[in-house]
Amino acid sequence: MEQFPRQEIEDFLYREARLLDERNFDKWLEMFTDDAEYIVVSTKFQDTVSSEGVATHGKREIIIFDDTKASLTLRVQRLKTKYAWAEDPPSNTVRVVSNVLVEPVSNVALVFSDVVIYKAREEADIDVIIATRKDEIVRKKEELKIRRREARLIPPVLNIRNISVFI
Amino acid sequence: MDLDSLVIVDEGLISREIFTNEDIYRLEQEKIFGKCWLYLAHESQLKNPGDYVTTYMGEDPVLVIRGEDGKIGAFLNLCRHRGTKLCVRDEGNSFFFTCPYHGWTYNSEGRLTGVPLEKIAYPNLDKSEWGLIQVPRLVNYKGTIWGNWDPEAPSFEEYLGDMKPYFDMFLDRYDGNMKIYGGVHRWIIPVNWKIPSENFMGDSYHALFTHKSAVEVRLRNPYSPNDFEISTKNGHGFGAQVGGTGRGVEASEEYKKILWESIDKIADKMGDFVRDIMPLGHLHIFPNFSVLDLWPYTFLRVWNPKGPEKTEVRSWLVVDGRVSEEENRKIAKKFELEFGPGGVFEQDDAEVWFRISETLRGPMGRKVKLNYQGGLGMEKEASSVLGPNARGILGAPFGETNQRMFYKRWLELLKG
Repeated sequence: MEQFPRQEIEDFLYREARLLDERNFDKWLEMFTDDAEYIVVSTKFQDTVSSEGVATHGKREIIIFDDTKASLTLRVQRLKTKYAWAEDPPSNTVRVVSNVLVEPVSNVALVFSDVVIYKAREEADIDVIIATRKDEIVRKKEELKIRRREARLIPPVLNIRNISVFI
Repeated sequence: MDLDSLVIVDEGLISREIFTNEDIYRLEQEKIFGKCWLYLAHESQLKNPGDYVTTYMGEDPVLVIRGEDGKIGAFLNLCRHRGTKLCVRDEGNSFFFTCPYHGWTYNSEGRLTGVPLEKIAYPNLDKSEWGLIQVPRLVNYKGTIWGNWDPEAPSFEEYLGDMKPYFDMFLDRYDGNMKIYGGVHRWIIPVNWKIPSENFMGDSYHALFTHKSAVEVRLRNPYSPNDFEISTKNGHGFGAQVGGTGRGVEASEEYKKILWESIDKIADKMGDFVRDIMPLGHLHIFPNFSVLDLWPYTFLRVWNPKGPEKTEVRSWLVVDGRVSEEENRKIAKKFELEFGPGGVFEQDDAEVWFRISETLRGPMGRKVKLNYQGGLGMEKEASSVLGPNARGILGAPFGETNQRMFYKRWLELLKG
């Protein structure tokens, strides 16, 4: 069974956050496997009725990002054009990553983490994006790679005009 | 306030005041959102008795529900006792709604059915008089549910006017198989509700520059000059690329087959011009309902006003139920890449709209008259170009006729 020391996983996530904050998107893309899935959802509250007619208070996920490595690469290419207005000028960001838990399942590390992203732009209020994440991290030729990320945004109604940063 | 000096349609001049003024905003709530037909829900969200969605009509929260009696009703989403918001979920299924404040309970037909300690505290209460406030006019138009607060309002079909054949083309294409896919995207953008409305109504022009990055990364072909914009002169309008918006963008054979069969059927009835204008591109029904009908995805929009410089976006992907789940999943993936809060098109829309609000605060900036003169005086009867069944007026390619007609209607209603 593959070993995933927590320290190594934490360093990996911190390095990822730093690459994004430094806008080193090409290096960031290398942290994903070629068959990676990248999903961002928000959660709604919903009443449902079971087949027995009992009311329950459930939750429902609304997909906001449903990306592959190819579409993530396209998003990065777009950011490099002169016409990506949402990131022109580039936002200043800081990602604070915390509450890291690692659960190894055979050759995959299930990694839970929370992230708070502060995004600052000229003359605008600072946007705060809060998400809780579940990653599947694998080891490929000694290096850790993200095979699947699922990030869940906290607010059911987003109070920000766009999500122009990666989560 | 001299509204006529703010909106001079014949000269294509619009004062920025209308995007920030509190008094105008309040007037809009009453004269526009209190009198116009407003989109509430899609029938596919309300299949079973007890199925409900919550939304807004202007600033008023409403609950739309299929009652135990099978009929769809819409109600002001607040308790008659102290006005507490009754249902705080986006959607669900329930036959009862209990207010969290004092426990008054209403059923799925809006009737007050339970009052705690009724015999002691309210011995003379006539519960039949204290049901939820009902939206007096409700119509299910080919699966789309619309409400109107004005009992005297014209019928929905009359309200559509010359937009009817075009809206029919859009809805008939699905032959009753339209369904909402994946829930509702909701987010707040810092801009007046009319800015995104006029964008979806007639602004093909912005795509060339706001969305230039999409062409650079080959998500879109270079924009074609063969654009047309049609206004039905009553505040509604749409526009597209000749040949159907987004044609040539990759789509599966399955999707194309169903789409083309539907288009052919409609063209047989309406005339060949239908093949040139479907998918319909951007379409807007006054005041705040939009459609973006592209190749291969389609979504519905409502721009809910939340103050002069704040709008809640509600966005629903709609799919054709005859298309396989696997293909619809792919369509949803493409939609999410391009539109919604994280979409590569939508991110930039929100950014440029935000920059409009940024310049509205100063006494000089808010007084400036803006240029809405694109294609001014170049309009033709649509029928003279597209064929006898085409309605409305055809503006110049990338012109702003639709926007001018939108504000003409807006002014009429505000003064009315």
